[in-house]
Parts: sequence; structure tokens; C-alpha cells
Amino acid sequence: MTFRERFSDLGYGVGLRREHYRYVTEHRPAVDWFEIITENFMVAGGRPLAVLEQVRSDYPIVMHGVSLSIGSADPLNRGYLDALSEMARRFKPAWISDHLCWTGIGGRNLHDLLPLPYTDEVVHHVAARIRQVQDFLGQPILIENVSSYMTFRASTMQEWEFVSAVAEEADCGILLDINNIYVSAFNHGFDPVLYVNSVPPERVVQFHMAGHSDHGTYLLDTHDRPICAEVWRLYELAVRRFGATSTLIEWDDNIPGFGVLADAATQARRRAQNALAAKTEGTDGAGFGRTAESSRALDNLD
Amino acid sequence: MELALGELQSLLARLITSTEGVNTQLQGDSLAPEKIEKIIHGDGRLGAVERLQIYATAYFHRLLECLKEDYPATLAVTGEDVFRALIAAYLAAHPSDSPSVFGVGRFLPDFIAHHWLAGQWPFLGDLARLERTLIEVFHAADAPPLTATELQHIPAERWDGLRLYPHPAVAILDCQWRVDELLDLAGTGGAIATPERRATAILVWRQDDEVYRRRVDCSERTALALIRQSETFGALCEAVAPLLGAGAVDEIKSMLSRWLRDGLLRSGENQKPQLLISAMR
Repeated sequence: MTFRERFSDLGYGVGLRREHYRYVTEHRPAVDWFEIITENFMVAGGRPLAVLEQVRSDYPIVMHGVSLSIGSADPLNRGYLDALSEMARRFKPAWISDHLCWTGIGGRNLHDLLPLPYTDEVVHHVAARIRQVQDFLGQPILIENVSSYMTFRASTMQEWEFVSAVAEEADCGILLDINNIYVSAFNHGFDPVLYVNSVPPERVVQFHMAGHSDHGTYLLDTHDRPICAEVWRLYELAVRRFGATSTLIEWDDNIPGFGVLADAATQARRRAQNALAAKTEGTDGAGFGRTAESSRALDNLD
Repeated sequence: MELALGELQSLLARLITSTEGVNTQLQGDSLAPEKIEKIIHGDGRLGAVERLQIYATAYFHRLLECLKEDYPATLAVTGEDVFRALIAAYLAAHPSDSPSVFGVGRFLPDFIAHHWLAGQWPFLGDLARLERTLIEVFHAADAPPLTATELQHIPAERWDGLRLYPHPAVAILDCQWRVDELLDLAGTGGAIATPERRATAILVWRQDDEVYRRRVDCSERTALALIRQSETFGALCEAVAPLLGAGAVDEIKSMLSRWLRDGLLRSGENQKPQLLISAMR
């Protein structure tokens, strides 16, 4: 059994956000699963936890964190891990994920997902910490590639090599954010297709899909608008490479009515089914090898 | 320029969290932008400092928006520009150490109370503390409320020594200004007038996941404080009766009924009291 096969395919879900609490609890909409921002529920009590209890009784959930700071030079935050463990015990998520980044140093939290230098030393540092977290929680976790706006001269490998190396050494899963790949590819001038084609399939357990904003000289990962056509095409490529994979629609700002998110999840399902059907029939027209030449294929997917 | 991971992260954190901007902070650190170019890749589209500034801008904007959401009435009083300057000063003095953004603004009321803005708007500290309390009560621990049926089963001879326990999602604020009036005005976009300066106790509580507030008079304030101190019901009556005068017995019954109706007391005698009482400056 590969690492990936240890996890269920949850189908097509959306992020559970405060704006939709009432709708979700009253209407129990037809989405397959919900992902929560773990820290939003690290509170003593009140409505968020009551809502989550109700949602959990109707749907599978995944706990997705933003403050593990797995790449920080600070020691792991034991208080945070205790809270994470308690939540996992209470809500029994299908899995737990966080980001391959650092979010703070010196005890301070920057509330952002900051990139790391891609070096062997950092691979060892992060992988050892992921192993500690997994041992503490008693279960494997997933790490997500982040959108970034800077890269370091100290790096000795590409981002996809770094992500893959950390996942292998830590024996953890990968939450592949397709939009983040696209955003970072634009910001740093690498080939998003090469990225998708270089990540080890047996480690990829989940996809994230979201919208971003175009600032001319750079793309910003804003999660505040629909997913653009290019990211959908990259998603279809990823589905062909990795197979049917739990997919989550993220929307965190300018949050629309729940129906818009549900429609995006439905679109993901349809696109994934079509991509898999085309692959089976051999009509996708692209080999998608592990080389940079495949970048042109992204434009030809339609 | 090869830095250890901790050195690199400390440098970047200092630059990103500087409310003056990355370039100004670099000057303060006596660091030339060229040094950053040796750490971070720049290209024809964006230089290294510009790339770092994307994070710095996002850092401040993200936390500013969170605090606007947490303190809408405080924002309505100060206006956008002053609030922005206030938050810049606040974050410089209290950088976040909280995994969740909920914790970022927890020191803002005290910060305001000692800020020069308190000279211009002396009620602003009270107002911010009330807004913070609404958030804390919203997220306070759950507990089953004490019911009238439970109380009815208590034999009459035990009432004098009975101890009641406050629900965790209950708080009382002692304010010098009637700032609760401002909360309702904040969302209207109208001008915010200075509230009446009068010592006021405001009760904030959560029931069925909704947060409520109301003013309490001296007798109710005293009674709730005694409950917090784990005093007996007999001691509570003894202390409160002189404040209520001739109708004290009926008034205390009425008070107790209201507490039960609002879920201000928790079920179970073995729980520690957790009522939050904040003395306002």
C-alpha cells in the first residue's frame, strides 16, 4: 500500500467559513466534505465549535492549519500541538494538514506563509519536525506547497524537489495546491507543468483550488475570486497524473453565497471526470513527461 | 550572504513587521538594499526589496483588517486614518504571539488606555474593552446552564449556605463611560458623539451561541461579584438587601429568575467560578 492509498478519496469539498455556518447547518448542502481552518476553532467554546460539531456529524472534515510553522527555527510550539491534538481527538478529521513554510520566529507570529530556502539542511530540519509532529499526533500529516513572492539565493534545488524531498524524508503526505503552483510559477518564472509532473504521485493526497489576483508584475494568492481558466487546466493535468484526488475549493475573502462554492466543487468533479475519461480513452493528446517541454501542453489542453 | 535559518527568519520577520516599510527598516538596521539582493532573488519585474515588501504590506493589511472587524465601534470613533496609525503603533508594541488572529488584538484596550488618543477620546479605552469582551464571551467555554428545576429541588434549609456558580461565558465590565450606547451607532455610519460619563456596569453573556449585553445596577453588580467570589446565597442576600430596601426579597427573586432565564449560572456545584470582571480605567 502506498502512502496515498492509506487515505480515502473524499471527493469534492469546500472550506467551511463563518459566512456559511447558518446555510450549511440548516440546508446540509450536497458537497462531499468540508475543510476547516484549524485555528479558527481553537477556542474554548461557543458557536464555531457548536457548528463544527453539527457539520462533523453530517460530513467528513479535514483540519487544515496555518500556524504550525513547521519550517521555523523556533522550537515546535507544544501548546499549539496540544490544542491540535485535542481538536483531532474531538472531531476525528479524515486527516490533518498544514503548510510547508514558516509563520513566525522568536515566539512571534507573522500570520503569513513564508517560504523557506530550498536546501538539504532545511529539508532535514523540516522533515525531522514533521516526524515529531506526526509522532505526537499519532497520525501522518499532509504538507501544502505555498504561494510565494520571493525565493532565496541560498537554495540549491527547485521548489518541487524540495517539497518531494521533505515528504519522502518525513514520510508525510502532500496537499498539492494547484493555484499556488500557478501563482509561484508566474512569480518566479518556472514551469508549472514541470512542477506537477515532478511531484511523487504516491504522496499526493489532496488538491487545493482557489482564485488569485493579478497585480501586473506578480500574482497574489488572494482566495477572493473564481478559479481562472489556466488553473483549471493545470488541475486537469494534475488529475490525469495523480488520478481522482480529494479536491477542496478555498475562498477566504469577498466570500460569495454558498452556491458559488458548491458550483466550483461541482465543476471540479466534472473536470476531473472528463480528464480521467480522456486519459482512459487516450484522447488527452499530451504525454506530460517529466520535462520542461511539457509546459506548452498546458496551453493545448483545451 | 549565507545566514543560518534562524538568523534569516529573524531578519525577514523584522523587515516584514516594520510598519515603516522594508526600505525604512533597512536604513534603521544600517543594511543596504544590496544586502537583501544577496539573500533574495530579484529580477527585471521585481527587485528583492519589492518582493519582501509584498509580505510586509500583506502583514499589516491582514492584521489591520482583522482588528477593524474586532473593533468596529473604536474604528467608527477614530476614523480610518487614525485607526490605521493606532494599529501600526499597537503592532509595533505588541507583535502577535498568537497562533490565531483572534488573539492579536487582546492588548489593544490597555494600549489605547495609555495612548495619546485617550486624551482626545477618554472613553475609547472603555469602548475597546467592551468590544474585546464581546469577542471573548463569544469564544468562552461551554457549560450547561443551571435550570429553575435544579434550584427547585434544593431543600429550603440548604439555601442559606448554597453557592451559585457563574457561567464561563459571562462577564461584567465596570466602565466610566456609557460606551455601550456607541456599539449600536457604530454600524450606522453616523457621527459618534461622546457618551455620558457615568460609572456603568455592563453585563455581557452568551446564550444559545448569541452574545447579549445589558447594564446592571449596583445591587445586581454586587450580587454577581459575590457569586464570583463563591460567597453563599445567604451572604449575597445579606449584602444586597440593604441596597434594595423594602422590596428586597422580591427583587432578589426577580434577579435570580432573570439569571436563570438568561443562562448566567452554570449547573454543577463542583465547578470553579470563572466570571470575568474587568475594572475599567
